[in-house]
Amino acid sequence: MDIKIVFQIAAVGILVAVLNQVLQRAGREEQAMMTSLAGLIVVLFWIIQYISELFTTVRTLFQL
Amino acid sequence: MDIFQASVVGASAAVLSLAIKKQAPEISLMIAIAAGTIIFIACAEPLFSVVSLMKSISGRLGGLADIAPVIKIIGIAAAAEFASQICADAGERAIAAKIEFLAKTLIIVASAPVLVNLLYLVTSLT
Repeated sequence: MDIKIVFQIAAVGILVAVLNQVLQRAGREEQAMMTSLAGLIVVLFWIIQYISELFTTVRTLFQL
Repeated sequence: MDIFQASVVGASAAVLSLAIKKQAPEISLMIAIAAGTIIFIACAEPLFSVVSLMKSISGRLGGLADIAPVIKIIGIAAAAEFASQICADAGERAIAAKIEFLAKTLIIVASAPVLVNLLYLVTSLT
């Protein structure tokens, strides 16, 4: 069901948060920044599909 | 998807987004966007029946009640509302205001023919 995507994004978010902390403790701030950017891009790809599905639905529904 | 599933999706997304708001604020916003999109897609199916009902009613009334602009305006308002609420969530009130402003102008453009018909109707009465 669609709730899967919410939990997937939350999992990526938690992973990125933990990785950030670990990398910052290890003194590699720039890699921490890279991992959060990578996580953000992955989540963006998942969400874009849902948003495009939503907007095509609204377009066909309201004849826009 | 009935109302109970939608509320479960919304509530769990709110909790999860709050959980990682401090460490990864942008991904917490993504969770909010995902939940909003899912619930909005869920409300498309009942809206199909409402729109077809409105069409059948306007069809029976003949050309008098032209329902097409009304449906278009509702669509514009729905899409603009979705985007501007997300921008307001992210704290970008300026972008949200711009989206709202564009939606208003598009609605005025879409409702222009109806206004013209109304004016002709009124002037023809006198």
